[in-house]
Amino acid sequence: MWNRFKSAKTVLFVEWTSPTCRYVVVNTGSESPTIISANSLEIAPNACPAETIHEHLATANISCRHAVVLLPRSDMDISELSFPPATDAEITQLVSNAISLELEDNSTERTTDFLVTARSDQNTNVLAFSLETSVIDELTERFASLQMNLLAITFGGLGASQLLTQLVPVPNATSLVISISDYDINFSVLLQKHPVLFRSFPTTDSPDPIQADRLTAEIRRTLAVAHIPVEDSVAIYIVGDMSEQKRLAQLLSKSLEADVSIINPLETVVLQADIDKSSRYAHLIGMATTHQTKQFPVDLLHPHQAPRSKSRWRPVVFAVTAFLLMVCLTGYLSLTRQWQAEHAVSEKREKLNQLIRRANKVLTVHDSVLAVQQWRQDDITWLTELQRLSTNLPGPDRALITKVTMTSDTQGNGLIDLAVQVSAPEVITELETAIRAQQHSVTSKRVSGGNETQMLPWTFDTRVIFKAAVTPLTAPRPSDSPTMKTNVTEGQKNE
Amino acid sequence: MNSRTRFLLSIMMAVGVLYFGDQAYRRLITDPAAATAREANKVTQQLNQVRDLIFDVQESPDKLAALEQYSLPYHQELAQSRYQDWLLNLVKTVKFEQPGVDAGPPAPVSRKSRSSGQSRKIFTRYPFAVRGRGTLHQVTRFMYEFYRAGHLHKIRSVTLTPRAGGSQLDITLSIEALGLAGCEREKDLSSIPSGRLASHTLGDYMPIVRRNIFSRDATKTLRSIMLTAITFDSNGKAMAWFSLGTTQSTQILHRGDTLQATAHQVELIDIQPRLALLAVDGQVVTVNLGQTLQEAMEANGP
Repeated sequence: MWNRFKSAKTVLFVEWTSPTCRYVVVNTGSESPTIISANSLEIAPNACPAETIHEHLATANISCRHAVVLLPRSDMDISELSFPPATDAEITQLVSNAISLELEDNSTERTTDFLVTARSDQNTNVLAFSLETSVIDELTERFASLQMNLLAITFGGLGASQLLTQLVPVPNATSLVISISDYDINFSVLLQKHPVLFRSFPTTDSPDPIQADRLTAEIRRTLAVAHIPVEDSVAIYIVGDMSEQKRLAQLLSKSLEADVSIINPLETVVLQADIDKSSRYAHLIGMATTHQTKQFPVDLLHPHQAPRSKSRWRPVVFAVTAFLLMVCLTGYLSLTRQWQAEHAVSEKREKLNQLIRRANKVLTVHDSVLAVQQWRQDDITWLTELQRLSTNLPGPDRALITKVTMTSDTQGNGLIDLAVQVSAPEVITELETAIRAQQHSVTSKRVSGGNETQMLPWTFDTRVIFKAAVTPLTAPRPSDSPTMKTNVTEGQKNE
Repeated sequence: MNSRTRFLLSIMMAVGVLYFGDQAYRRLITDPAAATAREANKVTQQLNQVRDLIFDVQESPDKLAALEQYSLPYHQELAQSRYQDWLLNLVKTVKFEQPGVDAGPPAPVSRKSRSSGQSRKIFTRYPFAVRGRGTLHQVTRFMYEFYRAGHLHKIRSVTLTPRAGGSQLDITLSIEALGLAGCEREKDLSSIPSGRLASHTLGDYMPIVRRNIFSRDATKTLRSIMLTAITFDSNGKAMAWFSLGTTQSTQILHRGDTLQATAHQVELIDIQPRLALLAVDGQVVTVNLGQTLQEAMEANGP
């Protein structure tokens, strides 16, 4: 949150009083805040201070996108609460409950922030600041409509106590800071630098002695309310410049018999604008310097939030959630892998279908080739067989073929039926032996002898059976040599 | 509920969470992953099988294209007609006696397409029957020319029956040709020669004729034929005198005449003053005066 404030460069601080409204425009870019504009404006009845200031800044050609609103004591409910020892989270809840109990009208929603004033073993004292939430919303909307970001809504009286802590490094244990604004005189009582009480009452135009008497009475009353005796070395500080507050300080010191000091708020800032009465800007400057260095002690726009209670089920829920996340992640990864595998399979199947279609086309052609080859299975070159017979048969004076029939059977075997005449029975065996070969089987039957006066009296039938060797239609080309064919086909297969 | 009960309940809950978590992990993650892995392996195996299959049959289109070069034309009627003409020309060229070529009804062959599942024609079979009569030389030449031609055809059966002591043969052939449906030619027969014969010249098959397994006298005939004289007529035209043995008369031939010899084809190519140039069963032989054909052939080498 503080970082958000730090990023702001030019911030408008407005003291939300009426009819006179004071503001300062602070540049927070440097080490000390620089006041580049300061003014008090008379706000017309029914007019919004924010719009009036915005118009005024526009006229002065000052661009400002961030704002902090300081509310007077009269606009806020401040309660002093005392609780048993408690943590910050518990205090937040206790404050919320206590404020709810204090309010008579529960229908109005209020926003509460608090300031721990004292913490001991017996109790914890708290100052609670509350405001109707509708007022906060209205302020936020008004600034938003002016293209401005409302950074904080805080109590103006805190500005004086913040000035004290910055200007007086080692103040008294009990201090009372008096700041005089246009309409109020504000008292801030601090114990050990912690504000414990805020009081304010209307300003009068009385001369200093009368005002001093009045202030003396109010100071005594305030210290009494705070249970602090005057003689208990209370240091009193009046905010303003020396020339403005010197007389009043002397009177108070005399009447109270206490140390009264003057702290000048302008010492904490770099001034680039004219400020005539510095006491009137004490709250604004105090908050501007606070914004420069740290968070606002009270911010009704961003009040203390009670931290969420840690449920004992929280680790279990966390573990279960982590487990479920792990299961989901594992499942997702596994299913993704499964989908990828299925996708790969479907791609392979598609490729397989394509290959099957291609194979079917080639196989259809192959079927045609096979059919032709089957038809050629019994295609025997009979001229070659006739030549073989002529070469192998015994001489004409011993054997004579009277008829030859050459055909093939259904298994593709070649059949040669010979009707033969031979000169002697021994020639039959000789003839068979001559014809018989590895692929040729020879069988003879119906051997019969004839007239001995004939030259070739013996007749018989011989059947030669051989496995048909289908000769290629073309002579083999050099490119069809086995080596080259292997290389080519292997290359195709690799593709 | 005391702390012990709470502790036991916590343990039970933890065990329950672990058990059901394990079950859920198995059902939602492990089992589907294993199923996917199995499926991936299966598909990979199938992919490899199909790749291997394609690799195995990848040459089929080239083979089919090569076969289509030898195929009969795709037009059925024109294919049958052109191939029958070719057969007739062949029997005419080899000079078969009483030749006959009969065409059977074409038979289309279909197969079911693997891609579309519909039946489609692959090829048409054209059956033919050829018959005739000729010498063994003519038969050999017929077969030589048949197998040398670059057609997708085959001889299904052949029957050779010798006549007149083996000098003539009755030949009956059953032939079948193939016309592929994918052939690009509509009516023209293939003009590409076939390389299916081991020997590239007809002369290489002349030992069939010389041996003539259907004739007992084939070799004897060559031994008995002798060039006895070379004379010139009044016009100066040379004549070669061939003795065919003791039992037969002498034949006088002019250049280009054919010797009437049993079981052999002998053609007189040229006549020189002391020798004659003959083609004996396709083999060119130089025969000197007084030399038999057998001697001349042995002298000329194989």
